[in-house]
Amino acid sequence: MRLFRAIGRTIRRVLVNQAATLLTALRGIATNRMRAFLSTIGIAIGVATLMTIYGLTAGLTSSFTRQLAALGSSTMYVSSRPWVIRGDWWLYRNRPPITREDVEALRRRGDLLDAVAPVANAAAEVSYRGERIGQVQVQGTTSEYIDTSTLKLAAGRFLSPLEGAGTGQIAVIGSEVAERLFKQASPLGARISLGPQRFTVIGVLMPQGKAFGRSLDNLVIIPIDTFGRVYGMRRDMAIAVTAAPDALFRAEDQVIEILRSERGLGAGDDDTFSINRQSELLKIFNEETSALFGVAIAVGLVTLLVGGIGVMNIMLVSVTERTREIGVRRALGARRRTILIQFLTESAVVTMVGGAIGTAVGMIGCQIIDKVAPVSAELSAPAALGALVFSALIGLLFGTWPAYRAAHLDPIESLRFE
Amino acid sequence: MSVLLELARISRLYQMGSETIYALRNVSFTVDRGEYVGIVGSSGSGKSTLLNILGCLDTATSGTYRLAGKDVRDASDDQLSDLRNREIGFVFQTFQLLARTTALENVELPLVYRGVRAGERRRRAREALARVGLASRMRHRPNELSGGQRQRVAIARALVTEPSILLADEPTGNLDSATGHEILGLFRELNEAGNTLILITHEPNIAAQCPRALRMSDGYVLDDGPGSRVVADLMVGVRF
Repeated sequence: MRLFRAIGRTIRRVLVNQAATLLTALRGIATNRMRAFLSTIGIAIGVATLMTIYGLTAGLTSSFTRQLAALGSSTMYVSSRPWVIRGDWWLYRNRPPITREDVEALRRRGDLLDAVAPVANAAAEVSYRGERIGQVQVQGTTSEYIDTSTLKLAAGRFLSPLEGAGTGQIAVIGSEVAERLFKQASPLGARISLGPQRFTVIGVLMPQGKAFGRSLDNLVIIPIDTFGRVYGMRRDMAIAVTAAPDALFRAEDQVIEILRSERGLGAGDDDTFSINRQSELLKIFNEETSALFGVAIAVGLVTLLVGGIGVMNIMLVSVTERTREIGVRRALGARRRTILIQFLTESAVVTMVGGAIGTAVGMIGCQIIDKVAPVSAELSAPAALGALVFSALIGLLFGTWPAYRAAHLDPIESLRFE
Repeated sequence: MSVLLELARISRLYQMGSETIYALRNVSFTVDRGEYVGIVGSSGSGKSTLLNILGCLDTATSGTYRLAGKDVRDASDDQLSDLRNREIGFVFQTFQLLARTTALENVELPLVYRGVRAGERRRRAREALARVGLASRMRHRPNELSGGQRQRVAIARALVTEPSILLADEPTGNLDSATGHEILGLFRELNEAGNTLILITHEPNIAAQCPRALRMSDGYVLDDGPGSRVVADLMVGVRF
């Protein structure tokens, strides 16, 4: 019982001290607003740099993962070249295009493959009753494409197996195309123009969002044979292949095996195709960006270091100036620890104000980047909070030496200090 | 009367290079609760060193000092801080009030270090200010107060913790003589109300008003007796 009371008393004493200490610290800063502000500018710049970099990283990563998610995690893309070519690009130059025969071979023999869909890409102008959109991504594919992707229908239906293989003048449109051509009206059944061709809309896709400043919803999907007739049969295409997640690696081996035999490659020949996967892309992305952001973060940290030293300097000056005050406080019964905490609090508050200014500037910076540049930048609330906590920690770190000096001043000397 | 503080053969040495300076030599005396003691001496007589030791700002090189029954010699820095907070009320020549801080907040300060809640703190600080006649000046800052008023705030700050002893170091040194007299009058009132006071001064005529005075010179206590008698002897230059 007595122990509890003693603990309670200690806690109360600490709390009373904290509230009073915070007030004291705020007053200490308030009496020298300009100096506190100037000393915190370094911190503000450092935090602003870090926050902008962080926002940029977060924005890029999320837009990248969004785009990757659209590719599907258990989907492989067979194409004539790798997505990211590093090094000997000429090795890939003379590879033959992916053909309908390759697709057929995979469909016929790939018993581990859940869905196989050819995907050919083109760009075209799309219009409907005078409304036109200049550059729309046109994809030619089959009914199985929806199973290899994360596309979802908002209205209507996707290509049926029969239509996918046929040459019907039908189209599934992305949400942005639907919005811009039809506003509120339902596009189902309407006949839109793709260049000189007319297509009947049979389905509308759910929005997928933006990636790298490009909308993923500015899209028209048509049957692969129709695509071939309009844009040419001999185009290079990709094959989207899905397998059960646990069979992905075996499925990849099977795809390689089928395509090698289909293309008549001997044992010593290199593959004349590449299998691309979302995870590889993510790996490459992480490799490429981490070095860049590493450098940028190092710059931000150096700025913070310089800012922190600035704060330390100002705090040392402040301690000297307030020597008498410290002496008075000690004479009135302040322990060393109390003085230490007072000055630590003060420097933490100063750097936190700097952190808040920096976070605000960083947020504005991210919004400007978001508006002006093709990349998105986003700052989450936890990131902003983290920046505040981090800058307070900097204040504690760089306030330690001045606060220690303040706490260890001799009370008698301090009282006599002029 | 009970003994409040007791000094036995207190010495304080300073090492200045190779030279040893004796600031206090074998000082022994006791002060009872409720006494009003003046300590008089010229500068360099050791009275400031004595004040620092009495106020637990400094510790003796040798000898024992018991304050309110506690031996101060082996106290840690934290314990000394707590002793100052609980047992001592300081009044300085230069007032030593915190600038840009109201009278009320200045008086509250020692209670903050004792961990007293804000409401209670305010109430006690108001009482203390009322006691020194400054009830109407609580919201003023030191630079808005006269010298005498500042010293009253300092006295209120010293009283607010209800310490065992008030230690005043040349409390009238920065005041004109009329204001000085007011402050000395206030001290007398406080003493009559039961407070123990030790007043350090270099002015014999102030020491003469104290019921008891110690005369110091070269680190020694040379005389101890009723203030008027000690000062009278000092004036005629009687030495033993």
